[in-house]
Amino acid sequence: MLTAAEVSALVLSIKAALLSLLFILPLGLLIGWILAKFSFPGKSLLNTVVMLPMVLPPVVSGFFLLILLSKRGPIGGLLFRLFGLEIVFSWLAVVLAISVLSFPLLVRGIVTAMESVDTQLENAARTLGASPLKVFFTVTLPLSYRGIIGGAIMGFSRSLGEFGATMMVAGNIPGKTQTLPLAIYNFVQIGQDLSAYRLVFLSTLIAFGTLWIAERLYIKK
Amino acid sequence: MLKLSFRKRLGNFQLEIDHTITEKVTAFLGPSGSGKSTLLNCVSGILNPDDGELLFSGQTLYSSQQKRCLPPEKRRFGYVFQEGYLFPHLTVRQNISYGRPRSPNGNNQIDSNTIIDILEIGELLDRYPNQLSGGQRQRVAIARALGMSPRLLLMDEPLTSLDAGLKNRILPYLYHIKQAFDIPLLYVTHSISEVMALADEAFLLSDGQITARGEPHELLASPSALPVAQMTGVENILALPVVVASEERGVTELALGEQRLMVSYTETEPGATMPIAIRARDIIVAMDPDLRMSARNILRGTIRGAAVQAGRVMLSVDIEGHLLSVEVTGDAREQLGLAEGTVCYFIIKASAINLLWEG
Repeated sequence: MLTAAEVSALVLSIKAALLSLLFILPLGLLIGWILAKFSFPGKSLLNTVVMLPMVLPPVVSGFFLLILLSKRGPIGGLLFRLFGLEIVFSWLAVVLAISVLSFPLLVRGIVTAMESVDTQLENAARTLGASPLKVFFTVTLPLSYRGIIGGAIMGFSRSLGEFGATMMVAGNIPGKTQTLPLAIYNFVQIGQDLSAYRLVFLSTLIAFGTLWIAERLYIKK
Repeated sequence: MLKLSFRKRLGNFQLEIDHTITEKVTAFLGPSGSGKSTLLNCVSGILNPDDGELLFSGQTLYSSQQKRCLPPEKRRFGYVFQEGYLFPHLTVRQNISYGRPRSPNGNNQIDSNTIIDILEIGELLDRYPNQLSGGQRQRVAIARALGMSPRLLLMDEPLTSLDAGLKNRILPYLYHIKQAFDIPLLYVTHSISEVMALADEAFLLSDGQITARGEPHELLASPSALPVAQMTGVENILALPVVVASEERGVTELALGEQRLMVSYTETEPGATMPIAIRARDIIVAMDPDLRMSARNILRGTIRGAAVQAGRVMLSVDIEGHLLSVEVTGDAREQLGLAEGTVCYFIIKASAINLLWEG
């Protein structure tokens, strides 16, 4: 069976990924909706910024986060002065790191799903007296929820696998910031091969399961 | 009632209109690409004009000068789209009630049972759009637009996606709606018979411009209707008075000046005006009227001119003051010596004459 260290890494990873999803899903829906349904100056710029973490080396994303969130950084400094909060190397930093890294995947799924909803249906709803917000909740969302769930699952999987940025901004502290991939790395480094194998197996299992569910959601459409 | 005075550019295309609409049912007739849908989209608020103004019963819908633009949800204009666009995730009942105003606004409210009765969709209420046939879907789309108790109804070729048989079954529903509800209707189509059946006034739209407007029967018989008629493959459109309608003989006689034109029987009264359409290639030219043959219509006329279009000769023929187009081959023209001023006879089978207005 799993050792306490392995369980703690697993639980921490899942908890952080779920919390991150809770965090980025509303924002992702908003940004995804804007990108899918509106045209405005600067749209491709917004799109590029949102998608950047997908192509940037995770370590680089992590480095930016570190700068922003450190006690001397603009955001970290503010939080420290206001609330005495130290984010870097905390569990919260894990959540932030995986949020930033999985956000593009989530948004991409949402944009694709919402773009597939015929604009004329939304126009029809507008002529029937629905405000843009009502159209979003009564037409766009119900007709794209499968793809949105698919995107959320992809984002969740990406969160569980995040390594580089988490390492940069949250470190590798067992029981505190050590997620599944970090734990695997650690176990290999110190020669605890059996632990590494078990976690590798679990990671693969989770990734396979989530991807399979997402795939089925896409196909059923 | 509805003042349309605006311009809208889409790519290379420009719609320009400056007219006021006062009739209950107004039809816009034109070929595809003439700007019909763009026009309705601007009225509904889905599109915004580039400049100009749009007024409905004194209310400004759009004004470039005042920088005002009422969003579609505030206009309360029911829109029936060509492809229906029912909400696929909602039942028929939910579709119909989607636009129902939350606060009943007095006597403007249309009872949804009335709508359901008139359109005969009571059986379909619990179905989803993908469980409906094309004709049912279009009836539900009309019901959905009526369900919001609109101030104005916009219909964008609501029958075009249906086959001919279905069209004739839906058309009476539209007629009922016109009778039953006091809602003005803007109807866009490229079908002459739909205009004849429904419209109080018609506008001809061609390449983004209104080329003519008027009472449908008169308008469609005028030369300005020619482009529209040609688009539907009919060169000759006439509105002629009925002389005799005999069910017994199976014919209706129309007066073409002193001459008579027989068409297949339809219920009508002497004195009524009947619009008809004849394709130029369905008219035969003869030099001698005394041929023994089955065709009932042998009309005497004079050739006024000839034009060659893509190898076909299009004769312009004057019959009792009506100008008709007649298509012949170059061979026939040469052998018969058809020239300007030639008097000859024009033979038309009764079945080649299309009645544009039935009932």
